[in-house]
Amino acid sequence: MNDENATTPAYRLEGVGRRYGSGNGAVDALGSIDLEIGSGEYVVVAGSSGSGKSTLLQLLGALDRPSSGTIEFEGRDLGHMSEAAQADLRREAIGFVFQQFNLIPTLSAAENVEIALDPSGLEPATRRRRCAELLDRVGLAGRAKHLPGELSGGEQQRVAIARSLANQPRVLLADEPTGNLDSRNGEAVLELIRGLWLGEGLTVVLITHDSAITADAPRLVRLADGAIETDPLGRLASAGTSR
Amino acid sequence: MFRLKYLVSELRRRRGRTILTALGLGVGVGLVVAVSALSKGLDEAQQEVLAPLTGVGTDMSVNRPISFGEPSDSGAPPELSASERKQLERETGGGMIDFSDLGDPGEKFSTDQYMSSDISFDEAQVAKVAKVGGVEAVAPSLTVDLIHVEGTVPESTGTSEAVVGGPATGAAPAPSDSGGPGGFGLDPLTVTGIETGKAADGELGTVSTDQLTDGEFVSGKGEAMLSTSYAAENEVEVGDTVKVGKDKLDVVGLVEAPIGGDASDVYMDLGELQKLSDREGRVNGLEVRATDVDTVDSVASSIESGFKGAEVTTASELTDSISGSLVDAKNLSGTLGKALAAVSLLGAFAIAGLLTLSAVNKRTREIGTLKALGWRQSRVVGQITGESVAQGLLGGAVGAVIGIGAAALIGSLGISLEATADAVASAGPSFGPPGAVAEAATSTVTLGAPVDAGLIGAAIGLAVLGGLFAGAVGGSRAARLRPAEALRSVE
Repeated sequence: MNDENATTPAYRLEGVGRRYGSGNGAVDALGSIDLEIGSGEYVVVAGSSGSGKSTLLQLLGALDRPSSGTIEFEGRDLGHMSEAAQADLRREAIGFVFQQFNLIPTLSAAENVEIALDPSGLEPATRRRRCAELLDRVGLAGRAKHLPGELSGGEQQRVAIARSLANQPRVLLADEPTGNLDSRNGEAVLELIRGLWLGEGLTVVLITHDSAITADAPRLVRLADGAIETDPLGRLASAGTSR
Repeated sequence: MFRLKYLVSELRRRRGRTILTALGLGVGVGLVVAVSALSKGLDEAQQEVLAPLTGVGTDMSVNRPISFGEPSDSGAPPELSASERKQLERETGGGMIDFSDLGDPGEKFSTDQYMSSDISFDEAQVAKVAKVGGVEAVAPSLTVDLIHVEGTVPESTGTSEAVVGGPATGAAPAPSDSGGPGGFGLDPLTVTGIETGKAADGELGTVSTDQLTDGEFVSGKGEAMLSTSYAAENEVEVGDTVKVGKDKLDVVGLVEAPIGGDASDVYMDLGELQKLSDREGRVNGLEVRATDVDTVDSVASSIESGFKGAEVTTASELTDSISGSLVDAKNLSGTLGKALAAVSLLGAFAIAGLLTLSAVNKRTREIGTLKALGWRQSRVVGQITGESVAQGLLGGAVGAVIGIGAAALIGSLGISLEATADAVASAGPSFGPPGAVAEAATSTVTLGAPVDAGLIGAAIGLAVLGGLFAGAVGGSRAARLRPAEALRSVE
């Protein structure tokens, strides 16, 4: 855990909502969410399809802006940040792992990691060394020059995890990281993520609909219809949504 | 290097689009190269046609034409002013032959009359024109129509004179079916006297060394050059002799008649002709070279204002008098050709823009991922634009090949174009045997389509511009993509 932010939570959401469209066609993907995630926590967000999981993750990752309420990351209001400031924040502090890996198919494993370092301004030699270290950490040192098409699903996701760690983030946001993997590879990926949480002190928010993952989640937040259904370990209760 | 690698990998990943975009830009640019090369070839053809008249270094011609008054209300031909008539009488004897000087009635006679449609002026005018600002060099000449008249002195008819031809009576002469007045034999010859020897500027003059087709340039008294048409007509060659007045001259060279210019039959030493024609110290034509081609018009105006009665003809005025397939081709190239090239280029730009936009739409999730990784909007737009510019460079290379190929094809066809120009006539009627008219001169040139490094550079620049435009179109779309929305897209 980051001692400097011991009293400042990683995330604080108050009355956060996200509406798409307008008028009669408007859809509330998220209602009014109150949520606090402490620095260094491992939170699993579960819910059925359409519950608002992905929308919540996108707001936490400063990939979108809330329609209502405030969302703070380490005390900074994400909703009113400029596009450039949000991009810089994502680069410096947040790592993403996606269900479909989202690797660039024409770049090798090492280059897919390096693409995250491109905006950092590091010297090319430093970048390449870091990429090699990260791939080694996820067990893919021998696959650095392979294209995504030459890697298995599990290996591709591990490249994506290495990429997410490129800029030494403080938060790891994983959107259904095992959704496209078989159970063996899925377990391996989860193990890796858990190892990073324990070893690096990352704050991890992982969304899933997989009950096997939710079963032993350190903290489980259930969403339903855009609202928090249960959050037993949460310090803030969602207004009017407890079920 | 990484950015270049990413750029190249993306172009290779979407090979079809890359090729299509490059081809589209290439065709547009290639057409621009071909049309520009064709236009340049036509310009060079025109210069080649005009060069014999203007010479390598002649920008304008100056003469002092005879000025007639306005036609009368009754439609009678215009008449000479009193001062003009006086000057002409001094020079040409008024175009009249005084038979009393030639012998008794019934006696055979032979006489040479030196006529001209331009009034001569003092050679001192040469120095005055040379001092006009912007004038680099001046070459004087004297052109006369030498009319050799033979016949028998007529019995007295109440007048002892006969009209040779010309406005001696003050009226413009009417054409006649007879060979000459009073049935006399006329043998007209157009002769031009030019500076020779040390005074000669081989590049500036009414005839230049460029026009030599055989032999050498006349270098002094006793020598002559003949026009190729006169030599052919009279079966005269280099080494033969030609009679001009009472002088017999050695033919040292043959010259091609300049298009649009006053073509003479014989070219000889200026001083010798001045003496023969009783015009010592006088000339009636100046060829002038300006110090800068951009100041030709202003120099022409200065000369006209400083030299009373002078008429200055510039190369551009001559250009306006040119007609024929060369001019038609130039006009076609200038209008239709350029329009076609412009439309093609615009079309290529539009295609490149649309293809880039399509490519960005196909990469929506990838763009969302890059933004999620912390790529700023400007970096993402820079990536898209960089790829488009690379396609533009590729298109430029393709266009250069297409353009050079098209230009080479045009050159290899050896298309011949004709240019016809009416002889630049002085104001007033032509002088010579009645019925003679100024003939149009036609020159034929072979069309080329030269391509230089500058044109290729400009063409590639245009293609890169097309790439930038396409990049701007695609980049603006990428910039507007919200990361969340982009990541939700299905590819």
